[in-house]
Amino acid sequence: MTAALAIEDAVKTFGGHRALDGVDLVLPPGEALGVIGESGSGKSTLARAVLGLHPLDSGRIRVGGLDVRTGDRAVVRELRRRVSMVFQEPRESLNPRMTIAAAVSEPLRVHEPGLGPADRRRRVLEALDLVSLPAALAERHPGALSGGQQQRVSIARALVTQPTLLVLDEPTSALDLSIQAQVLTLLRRLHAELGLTYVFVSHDIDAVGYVCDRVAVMLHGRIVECAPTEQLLTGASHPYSKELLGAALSPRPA
Amino acid sequence: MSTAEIGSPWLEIRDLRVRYDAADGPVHAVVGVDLTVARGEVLGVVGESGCGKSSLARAVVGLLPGNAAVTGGRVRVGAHDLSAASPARWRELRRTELAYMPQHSAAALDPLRRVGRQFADVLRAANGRVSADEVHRVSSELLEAAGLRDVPRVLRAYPHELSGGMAQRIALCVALARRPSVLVADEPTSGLDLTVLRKVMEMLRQRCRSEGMAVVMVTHNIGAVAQYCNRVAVMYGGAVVESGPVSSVLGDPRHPYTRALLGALPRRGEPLALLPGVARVSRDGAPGCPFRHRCPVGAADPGLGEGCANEPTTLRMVADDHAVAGLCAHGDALEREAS
Repeated sequence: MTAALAIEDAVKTFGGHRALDGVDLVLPPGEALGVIGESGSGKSTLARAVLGLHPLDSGRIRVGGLDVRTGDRAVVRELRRRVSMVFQEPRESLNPRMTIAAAVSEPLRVHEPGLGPADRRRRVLEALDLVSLPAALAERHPGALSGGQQQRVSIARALVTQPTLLVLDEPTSALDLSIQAQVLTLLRRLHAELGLTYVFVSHDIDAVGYVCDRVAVMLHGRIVECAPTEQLLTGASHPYSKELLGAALSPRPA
Repeated sequence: MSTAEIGSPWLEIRDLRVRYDAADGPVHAVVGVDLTVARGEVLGVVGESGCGKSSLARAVVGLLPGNAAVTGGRVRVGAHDLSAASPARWRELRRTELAYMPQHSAAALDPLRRVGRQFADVLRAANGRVSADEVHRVSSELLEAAGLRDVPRVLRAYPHELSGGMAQRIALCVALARRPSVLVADEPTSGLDLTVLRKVMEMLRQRCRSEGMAVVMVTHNIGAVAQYCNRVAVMYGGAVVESGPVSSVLGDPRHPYTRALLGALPRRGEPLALLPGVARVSRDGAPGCPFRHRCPVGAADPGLGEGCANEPTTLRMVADDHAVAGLCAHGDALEREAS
């Protein structure tokens, strides 16, 4: 089976700083992978590189067999349909002047221009339903929604083109706990029911542990350890993973 | 102000009320909050966006925005009642006794002055003449304790030459330099990496003890509260719904909102608590448990729910120093006594 995502020896430098320093990673379809690390570890660069937003200096990233670094416009278009991204701050990633329906249908206009208005409408409502948002919200603007609803709109928008891979960069870091709980619960449901494949990048070990099958730990642009979540949380083997997990603050008082 | 015994109440907030005049009508952001903080104690204030915790913090240091005002209650530091303080008196207090670290505190640094100069500024504003050696000694000690490397370079740097996390730590060090007796810090650790966060919190706790400072820390981070605060106040809808020692409140939460908040912390393999509805602000400042509109306990027991609507938001003691708003938690306590 072709991997949903295959990264081989990815290197990316920014002005002499190696943000990615030889990353290898294979993600089978249907897997939820977490990427954790501290600021500057390269985890966001990795997420963006998967979308082709940071062209690599060397190495290769393939999504379902298609090379992200391509000059072919048709391939780029196909890649953009296959991979969607959800960002940290829903307020900043949604156009405040677009209705929810317009925001969610925008990727369809680009990637499936042949789709008629009625079919487009149906797909938008399906996507909203997928993230448990009522159809009544479709004609509202983002400002009228709560933070959790806004982030669910971002996820609906990311899913409307039926991508094979979803990349989420700190999707819950700007959210309150109760809203984070909604988003994490949604991701788990989509993963369980649809077999959604995703990469969840976060500094929050508890959130990653909650929604991921496997976790990669990044340090200085490298993956120092990648293991099934349970194994990593209970018995990390790399000293840095141990340090990172050991620094986590338990919400239970000592 | 004179020093007091560690452990005695130093900062006292009584029935504090804050109202904003928003474009679409008044918003009661703080609706009668009672809190005390002793010297040498760190009080964590938790709650979600819009619960009033930042308004509470700003009211304590007299820095509410122009469209907001304290409409009732009082704040006392030591023997001084600040309720009637003039703007000049507030400024004097903020130069000496009170320190405030705003959210996104990196922005609190003066962009045009080197870090070392900013330490000199606050030390001289508080104490008059302070030698350059003394400024250097105090600032270096704090920056090192906060885990900053290459302190001489940091002292020579302008804020734009620093990373956000560094600037945030420096802002905290500047706030601590003149040894205030009260520190109010709004999200001092947000965005910091865990290892750095631990270092900062350890420094803060150590300073709090050694200087006999009363610290109020507003935060979203329940873990930081559990590990580094002595007491915690949980806010919802402008009111404190539960407060007490960290071990008691987080270990045995009584108010339905506290339980919902802690239930939303991800624990692998366990379902997360999902609260129906959204938080709303108080438009009338009316009494009653602010959580009653979403309360699962009240919904299951209409008689109780009605009681919570009429009950003023006074807290009841359920255990040693552990207080809870509303009737449901009280009933819970009675049940325990009976069984």
